[in-house]
Amino acid sequence: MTRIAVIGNSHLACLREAWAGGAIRREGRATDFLGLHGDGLLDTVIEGGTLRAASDATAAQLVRLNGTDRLRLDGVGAVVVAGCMMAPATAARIWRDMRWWGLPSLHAAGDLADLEAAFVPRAAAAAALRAHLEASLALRLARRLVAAGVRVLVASQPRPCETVLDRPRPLALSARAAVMAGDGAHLSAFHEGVARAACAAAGALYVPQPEATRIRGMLTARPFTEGALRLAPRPGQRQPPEDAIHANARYGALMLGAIWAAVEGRQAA
Amino acid sequence: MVHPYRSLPPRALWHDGVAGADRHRFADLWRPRHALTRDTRIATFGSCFARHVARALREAGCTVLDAEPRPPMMPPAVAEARGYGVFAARTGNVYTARQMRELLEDAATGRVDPRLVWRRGARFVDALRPRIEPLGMGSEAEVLALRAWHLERLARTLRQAETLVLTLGLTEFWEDAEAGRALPLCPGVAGGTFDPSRHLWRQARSAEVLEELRTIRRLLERFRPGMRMLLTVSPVPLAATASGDHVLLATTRAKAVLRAAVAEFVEDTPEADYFPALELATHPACATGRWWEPDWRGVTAEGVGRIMGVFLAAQGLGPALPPRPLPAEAADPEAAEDASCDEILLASVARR
Repeated sequence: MTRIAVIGNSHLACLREAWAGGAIRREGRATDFLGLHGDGLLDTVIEGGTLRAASDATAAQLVRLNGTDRLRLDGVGAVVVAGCMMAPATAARIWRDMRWWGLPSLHAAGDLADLEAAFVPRAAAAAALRAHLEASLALRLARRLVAAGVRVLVASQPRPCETVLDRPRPLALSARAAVMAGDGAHLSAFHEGVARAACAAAGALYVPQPEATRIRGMLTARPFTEGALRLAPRPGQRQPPEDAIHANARYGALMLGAIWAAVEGRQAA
Repeated sequence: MVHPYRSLPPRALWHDGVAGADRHRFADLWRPRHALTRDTRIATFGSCFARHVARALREAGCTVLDAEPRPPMMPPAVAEARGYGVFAARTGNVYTARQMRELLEDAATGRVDPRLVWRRGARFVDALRPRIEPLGMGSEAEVLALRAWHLERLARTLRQAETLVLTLGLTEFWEDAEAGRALPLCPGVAGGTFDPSRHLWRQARSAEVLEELRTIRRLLERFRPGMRMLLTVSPVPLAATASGDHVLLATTRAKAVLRAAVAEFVEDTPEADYFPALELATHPACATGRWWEPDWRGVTAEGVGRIMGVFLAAQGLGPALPPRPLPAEAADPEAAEDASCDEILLASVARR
């Protein structure tokens, strides 16, 4: 029996739902989940092979959302940190402020004098993105877990839903703009390379968003976001209709499949 | 007996102007020719010490121009390592008058030269600011495109500048004879390959520095007629010299030549002025506290604060003393200097 533990923020919900749905359950596999909104998981400690709440308030929140305030780490095959701002959207915000050599829109523009964003070395943009990812909740948790001797995987947060092309959403304006400028594929590859390196430097394995769920580089295809659930005490609570950043159980099944493949060594993440 | 010395003001007499003066404040040491206000649009350039000038002006609330501001999503530490927020543009250190003149010519023409792209392993660097991107660029084309953009932004900013503050640091430099350009760093130190037939050591004489300053003045007029110049000479000694002299003698030589050239230039140029940072930092009558780091090269935060306190007080831009506390990142000026001074790099390479 191989047991993995998945911790995360609201992006944990799609994985939990997929597991509950049984699509990727196999004999010999067990998966525990522990989720908390925002950066609440920072208020935890690892002691005696257990990750538990560091305060009564966090313990109460964990119990409310998960039925428990702790996660046993001893004997776990891997801990997966899901979402927690390991987000391609961060690369889009970098793109909002900067342009670099190799971006299709840059070469299409011709005269760079009119460029509103800063033109920076690609290495500088990568360093900026990496700094943001290293400061993300995902890698802060990952470093703690690695220090505790646990094998850690970091599962990417999903890209914004393609619906933002028709209905712009405040949280996805930059990703939308990058896609519309023709930079989606380039930006996606840029993010993946930096994220993989940042995770490796933290001692963790990066699990990217499944290729089949992506569209135009920086977006998630609608079938993988419709009906996304919230991380909530009661199962089945849906994200509001205007939500464009959470994925659904169909997505969760593909991501969990990729996670298990990486854990079982069948496929490099 | 009547003679001109009888009517001299106290500041003209050593007894009163120095020995008997409040040397902590040195209120009458510098009388600015031109007033700077907080609205004066200032562009700063120069060697390591120039970054202290720029920072003090910013902290005093002055309008310090920045052609290439830090993009909001670039974290401060990432930006600092890449020369953001230091000078009027991401020029890197400009050590010599010739380097400044050639930079202005480039900004005026938009000229970029593929001969001034260096290799650093598998990466490429801009030979005219080799440390501006620590990780280097991916191709020669990327270097040239970034340089063209940098020059365009620099030109745009120079057209807005009302006062150019230039801190000169060195007289000796390496020239790329093939490209006909002064380099900020010897090839091979932070990129490139040293070729003794192509890379020639040069030592500027005072007449050459003076002529460069005159040319700089003419170039500035093209960007913005009437632009004023405020010159300083960096008190920071050379980290290394290729002159064959002892480094202390080479330092004295460089500062003396720069000081002499600047003096003559300012005497001839009503639009120019000189601020005596060099004198304040190096004369024993002025540098009365703990002004120097243990290596006698780095000016301490106290020293920088006192120097810039004199500057700001003379301009009516801030309290004379005590100076404003420097921000946390400047608490260790040696560390800050080490991170940014190409010359430190030179010395470290020389020791290997």
